[in-house]
Amino acid sequence: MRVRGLLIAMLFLSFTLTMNLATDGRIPANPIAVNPVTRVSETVLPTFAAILDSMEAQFKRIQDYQTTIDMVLDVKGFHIPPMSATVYFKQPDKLHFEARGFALLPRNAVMMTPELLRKLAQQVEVRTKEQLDKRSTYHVVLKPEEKDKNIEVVVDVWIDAERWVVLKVRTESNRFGWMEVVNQYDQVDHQFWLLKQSRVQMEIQKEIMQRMPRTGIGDADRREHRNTLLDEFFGTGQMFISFRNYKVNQGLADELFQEEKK
Amino acid sequence: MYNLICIEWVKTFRKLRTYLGFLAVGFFLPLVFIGIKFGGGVTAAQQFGPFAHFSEYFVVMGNLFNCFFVSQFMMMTFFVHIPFLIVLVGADMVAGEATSGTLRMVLTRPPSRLRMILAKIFVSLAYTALLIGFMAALSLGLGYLLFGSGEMLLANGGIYIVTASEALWRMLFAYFLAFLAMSVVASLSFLFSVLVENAIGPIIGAMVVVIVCLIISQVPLALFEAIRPYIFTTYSSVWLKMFEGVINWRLVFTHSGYLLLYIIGFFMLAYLLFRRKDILS
Amino acid sequence: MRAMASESERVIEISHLRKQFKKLVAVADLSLTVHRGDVFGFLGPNGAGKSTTIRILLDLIRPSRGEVKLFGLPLRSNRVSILSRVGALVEKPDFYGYLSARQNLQLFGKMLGNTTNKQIDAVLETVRLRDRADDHFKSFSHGMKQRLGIAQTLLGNPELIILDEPTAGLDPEGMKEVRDLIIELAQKNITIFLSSHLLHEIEQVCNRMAIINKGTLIVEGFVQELLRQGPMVLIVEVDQPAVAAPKIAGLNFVQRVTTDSRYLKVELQYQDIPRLNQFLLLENLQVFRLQPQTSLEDYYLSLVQG
Repeated sequence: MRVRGLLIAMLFLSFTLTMNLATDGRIPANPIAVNPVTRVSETVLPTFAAILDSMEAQFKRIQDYQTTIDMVLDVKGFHIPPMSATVYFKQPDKLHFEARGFALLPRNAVMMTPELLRKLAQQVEVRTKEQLDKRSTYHVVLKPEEKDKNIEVVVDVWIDAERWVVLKVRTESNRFGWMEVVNQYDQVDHQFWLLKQSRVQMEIQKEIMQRMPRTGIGDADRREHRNTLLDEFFGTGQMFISFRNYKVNQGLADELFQEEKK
Repeated sequence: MYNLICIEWVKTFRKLRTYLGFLAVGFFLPLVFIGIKFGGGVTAAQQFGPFAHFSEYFVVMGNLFNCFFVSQFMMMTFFVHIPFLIVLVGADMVAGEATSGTLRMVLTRPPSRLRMILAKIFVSLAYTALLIGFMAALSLGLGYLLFGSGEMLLANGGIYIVTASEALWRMLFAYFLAFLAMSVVASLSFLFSVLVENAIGPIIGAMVVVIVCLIISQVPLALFEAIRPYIFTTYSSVWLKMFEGVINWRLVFTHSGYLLLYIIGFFMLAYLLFRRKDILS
Repeated sequence: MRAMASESERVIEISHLRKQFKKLVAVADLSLTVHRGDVFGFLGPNGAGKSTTIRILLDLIRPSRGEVKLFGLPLRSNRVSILSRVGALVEKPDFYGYLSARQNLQLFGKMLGNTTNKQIDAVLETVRLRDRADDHFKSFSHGMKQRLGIAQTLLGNPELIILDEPTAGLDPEGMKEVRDLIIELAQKNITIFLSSHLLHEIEQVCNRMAIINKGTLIVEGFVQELLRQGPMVLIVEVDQPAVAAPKIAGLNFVQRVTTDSRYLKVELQYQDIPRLNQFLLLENLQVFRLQPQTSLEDYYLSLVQG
């Protein structure tokens, strides 16, 4: 009895290990692991369509919302004061942003709607079901089609298996660099799971940073600033976004989302 | 002394030549702004500056192409164009009166040559301040009407975004430093004005000096390195320091101090020459 | 003729004045004195140093050597207090063309302190420019400009007025006006230092004069006394000049007689004029005119050219 039990346990462990090796063929490049991932073996994973359906079922309950977001940027080489903006959303994918001053908002932080995920899913793989910050999530890998064939983008999305919201997104582009957004949610009006906080980490490609203006205008002392952009850490850092003052299902007008002609 | 200043003020501001500078700025600046505004639309690169490169991954909001940006752009005229408008008046202060003969008339009156020249110096500097103040007001005011306000992008050793209120005081301080720089030009043209009896010579002479010194300051030749610390144009761009992310205040005050020395030096030399000058016209 | 004033009333004192412009000596060694109440004529050919001297008096030019005192005070160290008592017009009057006559005078008046509009009106009235007071200076004729220049010298009730060729470019009427004005000012005991080329003008208005040439003083003194030192030419107009001429020529106190179409020119000493007059009457000649010609011209030329 004891030997049989030990054999079964060894079989189970070896199977688990094999599954891990099989499913995790890529070691994350990001050395900073905010939320340790615990992989749970699943024999059957839902399809991406099923996941999207579940997400949409939750998301469609929100016809529209507006929220105030506060952003703090902590990226080497950038010195931007805290920013604030108002985000308006209306089904299915209308977004409108208003800011009194300058504001920089990662698209992945607010625009990861089911509709957008559907558009990104030219190639999609539901890779695994994982634990992320004590939440059970589906890890989906998306490869959107880029117009420029030289650009390759891979989007990893972790979707909460219970609340059907995006907990984490990692976008890697051979042109831009990488960006990882980790979300926390709060229940608004006791029914809607909406973003409470997002932490964005990024590393912008040198190629992009070199397009930045090196110096100010016409300054003879500019030579002292010229080497700054060679700093290998220039363009790396993070951004903290908090969401407050939600107003859900207020009946936002379509006119709000009409693009202003420039 | 007050009477003398009033007299010089009337003499200067009753001349049409004095208003050429204001007319030039008042015509040219709005023309440029209107051309920018209505000439072809604002591209994303102009509106968001370097952040236009991020538009694929970020939503970029706000308007960096505002009154501060266009005003900053117009301040480039402080290198050559505005100095020319300054010397038009500075060079005429003494030489113009010598040409017209009124210098002879005026110097037979009781006030000392020192007080006479101090009054002229005061009015020269006042004209400089008024012209730059006019440019600042028009630039920021019209810029605000056409382009609105917003943050200012600074790019020296990093990307800096400063708030509108900070941008405003930086701009105002920059204009003040530009006034110091232009006062050196005014004092130089005033010095030349004392030396000759015709205003054309000092105008051309002062502009030649400004342009040559500017070349020496800007062109990175080893030959010029030794001369550079001693010419005023090396420090005339001190106002640009206000557009660096982190303002080097030590450098600002040092350069401003040098400019003050040049102003005082040129005016003092002008007085010493004027005091000994034989009025033969 | 005014009597010589006492020591304490020396208004202008020039002592061994010299001015050299590089190699040119404009004033070599000039010394002269002007007393209070004098109308002092300052004569000399072109380039004699008159304008240079006047400019030195007004601190427009620094002397190379020598001393200048006005009102008993050294000029260099008392410029402000001295010039507040002096009105001057050096060469042509140059005012601000874009200002009116009144505005120009207000401007110059401010340099003296607070000259009132009433005082400005008064001087404009004196030079007969009151009705053109508000016209721009650039619209004035030459005569009007000259008059405004003189008006400017009157601001502040000066004790000394220095005029450098004040009638230059004026018509005869304008010249007479200026001469009359000078006489009027002199009667108010204002000292006038007057430089002019017009010798008859000096002769008519000045009581004292100096002649300089090549920067050096040639002669200085009372006009009439100086004139009497030299020969006088008398214009004699009689009913029979052809008869009179040989008779006059025969007189021992007459140096020379020349005949013009209508009158005779007789050279004799000033004090012999009554003798000639008596002679003509005794000869039963009708005498219409006995007029000294501007002998100052002859005197001047004899000094300058001789």
